[in-house]
Amino acid sequence: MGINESLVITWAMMSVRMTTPILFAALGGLLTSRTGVFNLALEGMMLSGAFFGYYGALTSGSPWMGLLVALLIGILLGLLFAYFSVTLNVNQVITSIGINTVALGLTSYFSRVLLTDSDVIVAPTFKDIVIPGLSDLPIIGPIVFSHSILVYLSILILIIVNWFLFKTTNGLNLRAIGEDATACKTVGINVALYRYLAIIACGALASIGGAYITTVAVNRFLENIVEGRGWIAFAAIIFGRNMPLGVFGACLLFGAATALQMLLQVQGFKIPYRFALMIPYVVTMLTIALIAKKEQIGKVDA
Amino acid sequence: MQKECLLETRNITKKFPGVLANDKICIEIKKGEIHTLLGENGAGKSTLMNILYGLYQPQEGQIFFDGREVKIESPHKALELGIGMIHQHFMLIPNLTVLENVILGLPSAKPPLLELDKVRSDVKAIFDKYKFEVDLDAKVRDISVGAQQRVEIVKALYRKVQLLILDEPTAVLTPQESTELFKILRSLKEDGNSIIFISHKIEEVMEISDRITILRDGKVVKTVMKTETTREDLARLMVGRPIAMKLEKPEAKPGEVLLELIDVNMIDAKGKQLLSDISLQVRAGEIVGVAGVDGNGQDELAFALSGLRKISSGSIKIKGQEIKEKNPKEIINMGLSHIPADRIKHGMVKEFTIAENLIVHKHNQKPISNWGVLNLRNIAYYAKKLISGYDIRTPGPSVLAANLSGGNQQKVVLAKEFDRTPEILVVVQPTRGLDIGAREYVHEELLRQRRRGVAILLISTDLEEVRALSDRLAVMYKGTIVGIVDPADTKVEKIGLMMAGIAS
Repeated sequence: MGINESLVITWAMMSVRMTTPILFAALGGLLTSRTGVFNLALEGMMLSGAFFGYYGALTSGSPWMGLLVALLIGILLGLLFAYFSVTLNVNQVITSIGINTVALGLTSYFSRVLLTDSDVIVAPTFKDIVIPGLSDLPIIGPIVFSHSILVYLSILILIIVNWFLFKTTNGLNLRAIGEDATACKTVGINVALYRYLAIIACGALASIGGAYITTVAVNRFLENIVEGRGWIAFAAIIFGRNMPLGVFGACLLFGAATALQMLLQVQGFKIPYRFALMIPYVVTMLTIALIAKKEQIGKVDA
Repeated sequence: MQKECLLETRNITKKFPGVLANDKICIEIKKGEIHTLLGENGAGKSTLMNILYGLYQPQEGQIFFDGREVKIESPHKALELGIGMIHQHFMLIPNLTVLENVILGLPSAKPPLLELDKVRSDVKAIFDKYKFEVDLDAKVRDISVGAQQRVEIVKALYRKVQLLILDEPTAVLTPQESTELFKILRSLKEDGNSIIFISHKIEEVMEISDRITILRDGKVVKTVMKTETTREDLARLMVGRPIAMKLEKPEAKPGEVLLELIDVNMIDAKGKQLLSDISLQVRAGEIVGVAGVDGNGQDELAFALSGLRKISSGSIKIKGQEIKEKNPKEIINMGLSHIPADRIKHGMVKEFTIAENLIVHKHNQKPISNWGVLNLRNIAYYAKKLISGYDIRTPGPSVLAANLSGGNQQKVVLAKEFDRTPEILVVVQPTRGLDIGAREYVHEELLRQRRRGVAILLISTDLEEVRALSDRLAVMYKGTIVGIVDPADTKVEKIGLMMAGIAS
């Protein structure tokens, strides 16, 4: 019993950690999706955040600096996306493909060019904050109260997004834009401004989600290190029905699947590791397939 | 008595590519009056209202509001001035509640928080004042169309508008809901608000208006007091466009009945009667016109004939053969051609070239294609033949249909359909939006088909057009044929009254 129990606790704790990067990106994507813009560039935005967060931390010696750099890069990518999809009215899918492709190419290129001469490739990371007292609680303690600051930040942002969407006038306007942008224009709402701000916030959040991977989970950058988490985040938005808490639940599910996969490998279960690696993606596909019939991804209008 | 002027437009002109939608429009709206803009579709009513609400910018002209010249560059500005508009398609968010819809876009009393309690009592007060029964917490998608319209009105009132524009507000209402709406509008007027009421229904215009401005072809024809005019006058002013040309129309030589409708009924999914007991015959070599104000069942009639919509009961026969259960392709193969009202959406593929559009019906036939492979040389030859035969003005057959003018697009549709030598033609609004030259061409082409012995059903809201071309004229009102007259010896006024459902 003892071993199994501790295994479950480890799994739960790892689930929380695997949830965080997806949650950051998904909350950002939720904001744009609520304005009727579908950001399929979450993957590219996360990847940029992962690289620049890592590089910032590596060169400055502080994970905080890395986070700041990732934030700025995310804002920049958000601006770029908004300029193309809102101002120039380019198809959102094409804009997204562009950003994803550029992000993959550039981060891979930079990682080779910038990191070859350097002997030190291990960047400083955020340490876990073990909350005194609370972390000593049985079971709950290790699962909830012994994580890095970014984990707590993601939960704080979840609460803020939920509050913003449903308790503020701007949140109401934002939700209305996603339903019928033309109607919003007729009551004098600046639709383009809302979309710009939502996309920029999304860029920042997705980028921080990416930076989490390189400044908390792993201390180095590898090509394509995000490994489809941006796409999983997008799936979480749909699975969570565009509701912050629903999205959180979906992220937890996908996070748990990722943690399970890692655990299976570490514990040396007798299945080929390639199958274990598939778990989070298979779970994503199955959930999407299950809800695909019932849910509309949503309509976009000008 | 002389009331003060609230809004005045001077020489408002708005051009769209190829269309002069508003031509030097001057109107004056007084305080506390219900002012109707009366005109047919395309007369420029909606364009003018969209200018007043800041959705379009005029190329020329001035707007004065409350004595000051104003520039209305956005709906936001219009609302600031106190101009509200209720669009034909409501601008409500179905998934939000009534209350949320009313306050949408407005600043909160304690930003950034959404403050609903105080707002709730204010909004409730407006609803109560006009005796509306609406649940403020119901989602808009769950309330009736009439209730949605009242939400729109309250939305405007809550923004303290002095001028309310209603774009064909009764189009979506049942007669009872319309009566309710009129009561509301009258009490709004008593409170000193001005109302611009847009309509093409003479009956309701006479019921609700104080003054009426008639628009035609983008121009103001006349402004009259309700008390100093009659339904007949309005009908004449609205539809009586000068006849551009005299058509050479030889005596009809009607042959056998090719198209026959017997007691045709169409009921939609919600139980609304779209067509009721329509019986009509069209013979070879004659043009039967269908007149009526838009939205009285003409589109449904055309769709029923071409097999695009199923009828609920009755019978439609082509050359004596029932077509009720047949699909559009089978009906086409029986010799019926349909020239749809919306030529861009239903008549052609605008992203295709002219040549590709011309061969849509015969793309799988020799010599256009062989074993599924298109013969480009034959297509170009065929397209060039039709282009010169139907006088389509274009640099060549590979030009995209989207890049043609409206008149030339229509010629492509006609060429494509007429070249199949149909025996029956169902033609809907063939000259809508066309200039005089193209119009004349289309009319001559229809008469040529008539000489060839084609049975033609011409459905048009352009009364002058159906009067000039038809051998017999059926008038539709609310999905039924009010009467069939001989257009040559029936006065326009009489037909106008039939269109309004007043005479039969």
